[in-house]
Parts: sequence; C-alpha cells; structure tokens
Amino acid sequence: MSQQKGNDAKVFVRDGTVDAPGTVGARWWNQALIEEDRDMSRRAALKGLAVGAVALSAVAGAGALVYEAIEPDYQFERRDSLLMQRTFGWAFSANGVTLKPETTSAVSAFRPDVIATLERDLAPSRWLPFHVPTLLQSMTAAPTGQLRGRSAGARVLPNELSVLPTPTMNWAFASGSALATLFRDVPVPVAVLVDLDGAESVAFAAGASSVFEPVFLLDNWPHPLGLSPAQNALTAAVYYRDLFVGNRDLRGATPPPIFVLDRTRLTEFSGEQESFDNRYVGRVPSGASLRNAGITRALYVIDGAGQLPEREDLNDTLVGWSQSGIDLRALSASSFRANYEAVGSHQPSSPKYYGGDVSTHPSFWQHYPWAQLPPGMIAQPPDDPQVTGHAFVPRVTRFSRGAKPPAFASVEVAVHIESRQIMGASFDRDGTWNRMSSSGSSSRSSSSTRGGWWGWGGG
Amino acid sequence: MAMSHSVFAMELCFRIEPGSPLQGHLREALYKLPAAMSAREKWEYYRWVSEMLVNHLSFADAGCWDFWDTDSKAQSDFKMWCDGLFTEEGGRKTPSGPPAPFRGDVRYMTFTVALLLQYGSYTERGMSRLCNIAEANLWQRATFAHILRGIRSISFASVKGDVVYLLPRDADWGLTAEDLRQPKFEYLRPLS
Repeated sequence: MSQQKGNDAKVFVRDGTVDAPGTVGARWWNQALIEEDRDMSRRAALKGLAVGAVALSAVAGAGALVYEAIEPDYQFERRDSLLMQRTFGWAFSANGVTLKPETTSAVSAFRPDVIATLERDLAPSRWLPFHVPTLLQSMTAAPTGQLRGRSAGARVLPNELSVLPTPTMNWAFASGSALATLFRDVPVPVAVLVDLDGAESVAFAAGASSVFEPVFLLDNWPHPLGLSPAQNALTAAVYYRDLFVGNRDLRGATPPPIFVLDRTRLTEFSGEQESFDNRYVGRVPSGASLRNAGITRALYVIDGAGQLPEREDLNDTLVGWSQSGIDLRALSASSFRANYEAVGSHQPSSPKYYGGDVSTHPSFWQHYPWAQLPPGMIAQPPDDPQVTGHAFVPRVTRFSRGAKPPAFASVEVAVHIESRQIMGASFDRDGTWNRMSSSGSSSRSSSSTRGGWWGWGGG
Repeated sequence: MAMSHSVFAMELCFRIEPGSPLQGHLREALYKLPAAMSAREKWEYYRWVSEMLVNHLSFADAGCWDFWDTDSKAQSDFKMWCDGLFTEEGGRKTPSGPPAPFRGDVRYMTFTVALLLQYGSYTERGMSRLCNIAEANLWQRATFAHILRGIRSISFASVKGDVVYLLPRDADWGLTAEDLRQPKFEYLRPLS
C-alpha cells in the first residue's frame, strides 16, 4: 500500500452520531487498523508467535508520513468596536456583506451636497457641549489604517445608504410636530430626551425642531453586521437635514434641548448569527448640568408603557435628574394621534394632537402640569396612565455606577503575533483563520479553499 | 497477539462569548464531516480544530486532557469518552435559556476529542513525548496550547478510532455554572 493510497483511502467509517440540542458529535473507526488488528490476532493464533513487531513496523512506515504542521501566526484578542471602524473603515472586516436594508437610491446620489457638511450643519449652538457627533462623522471619515495582508480600498458609506422616509418616520415626525405646537404656545423650558428607534428618534426631533434644539447623542457607526442598525438614524438625519437647518431661525435665543438617542443602542445578541457589537451607552447630561442651564422639567419620550422602565444605561442619570430637582416625566409618542387614529397604530397621518383631537390637545397640561389649562377645559383621562404616572426609581442594572457588561461594544480580532498588527475580525470571511488550506506536503491542491468542507459558510 | 493501544483525550470548557463564532464554527464543521474519511481528511479536520481551540484558549475556563499507554486503560478510557457522547451523560436535558449577563450569568460549551492510538506507532510515541508534562504545568493554558499544536503532527494512519463532540448544539442549551458544578463534570480542572 503506497503512502498516497494509504492516506487518501476512506478508511475511517463513522459508526455513530448524536445530533440533539444538548449534544452533537460522532465516532469513527479506522477499518484498516481494525483489519490489521484482526490479522495480527489471526497470525498469532495460527503460528503461536508474537508477530506484533512486524506488523507494527509496517504500520509505522505508513504512519511516518507526518504532514507539515503550520503554526498560526495570529491570536484572537478583543478590541473596541468603534476604534476598529475608525481605523479600518466603517464596514470593518465585512467585505461582501451589504448594509441592510439594501439600497435602491444611495444617499450620495440623492444628496451629494449635504454629505460633506452634515456634521457641522447638525451641530447645536446653545447645547453644543453635550453634542455627540460620532454617527454624523461616519459619513465622511476615511480609514487611517490598513488590515495586515489586505489591499487598500474602503467602502463608501453614503453609497450604501438609502434616503426614502419610512411610514414610522412620518409617524414620529408628526408626533414631534404636535409636541412642538404645545410648547410654541406655552414657552416652558423643558428638556426632552427622545429614546425611540434611531430613525424615529431623529424624525421626532425633526418634527419638534421649530421649538427644541436637536442635540444628537448617537455614539456609534453603522456596520453591515451591526447589532444596532445605526444607518437608520443616519439616513433620517440626512433626510431631515434641510429642516433641521431651516428651523434654527424659528427657535428663540435660548431654545430648550431635545436630546436624541437610538433605542437600538443596547440591542442584545440573538441566536448565533454573526454580529458586530456596535452598541453604545447613552451619554446624557447630568441633572446638575441641566439645572445650571435653567432646566427644571424634562420629558422622556418612548413609545408606550412597554418601553418602560427607561433603558438600563439611563437609570442612574435619569434618577439623578429627579434627585437634582428636575420634574422628569415619561411621555409616549403615541399619545399624539390624528382624528380617529387608534392608539399605537403608528399612522403617518397628520396633524396629530395629544389625545387624538384638537379639543383634547391642551389636556397635555393636565397630565404634565407645567402650564395652566385653558378656561373651560374638560379633564381628559390619559391614554396610558402607566406612562404618565411612571416613576424613575433606582435599580441595579448592568450599567450601574458606570459599569459595562463584559466585552460590550468590542469585537474579537485576529492580531498578528509578531507585528501586533490587526488582521481582521474573527468573523471575517476573508480571514485566513476561516479558511483551510491543504498541507504543503500534500499532493492535493495546496491553494486555500475559502470555507472548506469543515469550515463555516463554505462547502 | 492483538494490537495494543494508547488513548489521548482532551476536553475544553469555553465561556460562550456574545458574538464569538467558536461554537457555530465547531458545530458546522462537525456537520460537514462525511461518514467515510481518509486519514488525510482526518488530519486536515484536526489541524483546523486545534487551531480554533488554540486561538480561543483565552476563553476556556476549564479543561482536561489524558494520555494513557496501557492497553486496558486505553480501551476503557476511550469507551468512557465515547459514553460521554452516546449515553448523553454530559448534555443538558432541557434548555438553559439565554443568560442574564447583568446577574453575572454565563453559558458554557465543551468540546471533546478522544483518539485511540496504535501503541508503538510513530504517532503514538510522539504523543507520548508530547504529553510528558510536569505535574505543576498540567492545567495551564500554555500546556493545552502545546498539546493542541502537537495534534497537528499526528498521522491518522495510526489512529484506530476517534470521537468528537460538542455540548451544546443549540445556543439556548448552553451549560450553566450550576451544570458544571455537578459531579459528572468533576474531571474538568480550572485553567491557569
């Protein structure tokens, strides 16, 4: 038996498998060695002699073909996700994976004029110290480094973003506009913290921007495998850019702020799908900062009681607001409805009113008693007493006292051992660690096979 | 005279890290193994496995490895490792559900390989030398890495049988810390 034949013959035969939710595995037996063992026993029985040494030497000859063992030149370590994106590009290690939803109309084609100045255009004036421009910077940021062993060439983010508004963006915009009408007529200095899904938060702020100064607290970048679909907030910012800029002149000299968060910032991993952890912790001003700026009342905007209590990362801060003497209350964006629109139906129709009718609109001040009700106003029950009556109380979360869950907002990367250069993310389909190559001493093809028959994603 | 045997086995217990591809890759690779394999294909698979395991050793909290070159012990131990797969000794019977990270809740997976080797063969003697480890170093990650790298020098022409298994198959059946405290996992040693 030649070495080649000996190593390519299908001598290992599987005799049992287990494929259950708790366990998966299999066992194989080498039929050649089993036969060898039988032969040895047979000969020993026939001749009464120990011939093991002969058989062993024959097998040792076949066994002497030891393949070249290649030491990996990398190891896996964790790195900050945003740092990897800033250094190597927003689509870090996700070549071939498209940003969802797939686009039909790219931002760059639709609004080439706004991309270059988006960060500057959307920066607030009065509330600039609290502005977090991270997401807006992703539009124009260029990579500063190159992955080891990869060719240069960065994907252009605006080419992969679509700009069409969604029905829920229109719903949120109309709700924000309705909120603004209340405070335009009754100028009470109230800080608003809107914590809806990214595009809806931005749309709500756009609707309210004739009264409130938008302050973006969006601290991540989009990624094709991102846990948080940050691209939705980004495209909404582009879509409403003209409105944000135009409404500056409509606001007074000391506009109250509307802080914009993306609720998907804390999205949990689900299943085993490959994911890039682009989550972040909301960086919200402290109660003391708001008090210093004259703010004594605040609204936390969510969509229904199902989104309460507040997100884990906000508990410390929002309890701090209350402890600083700020009258903080929760408000559901769904409290603003058009006539005959069912609560929670998220219809894009406008105009919207608090309680669903122009006659119930001023009853906002009944539930948020910061202004006098109009004379003769009939008291209205709130749509959702759980929201209007929500109390912001301390609770222990993964983010209490500045803590973060292990590995939060980080990515596992392959690091070249000798040079310490980053080679790519562990999920990178182009990474050598996700390929299998046959041995250099093998007579089979020595070229790498992407996702070999044992590897993931190939076959 | 019948063939004599040695046994080599290793089991590693990893934390299931959010987003880590390790469990998915090991499972998918198992699914892709054909019913009949050549020695060369076996070697390629084990080379890939050893590389995956070495690269994720920092996430391994516990482990165990064994090498015995007495025939009776080798055969009984190999059967014992096989029983870990076929008698469902190790896997959970019910889902453990997703972890609650804010309570410090973690899920674990184990990956096990066991090889029944032909005693006296080049490969068996090589494994014997490879596994000659000072007692003080037995349960160090560096030792596991050393042995895993050595696995890539095995000629499967001298391997009579092998068993490979992963616990769990499904993400929501991950082993809990409480599971690992059960007597059936006593053999797993904390790694340093």
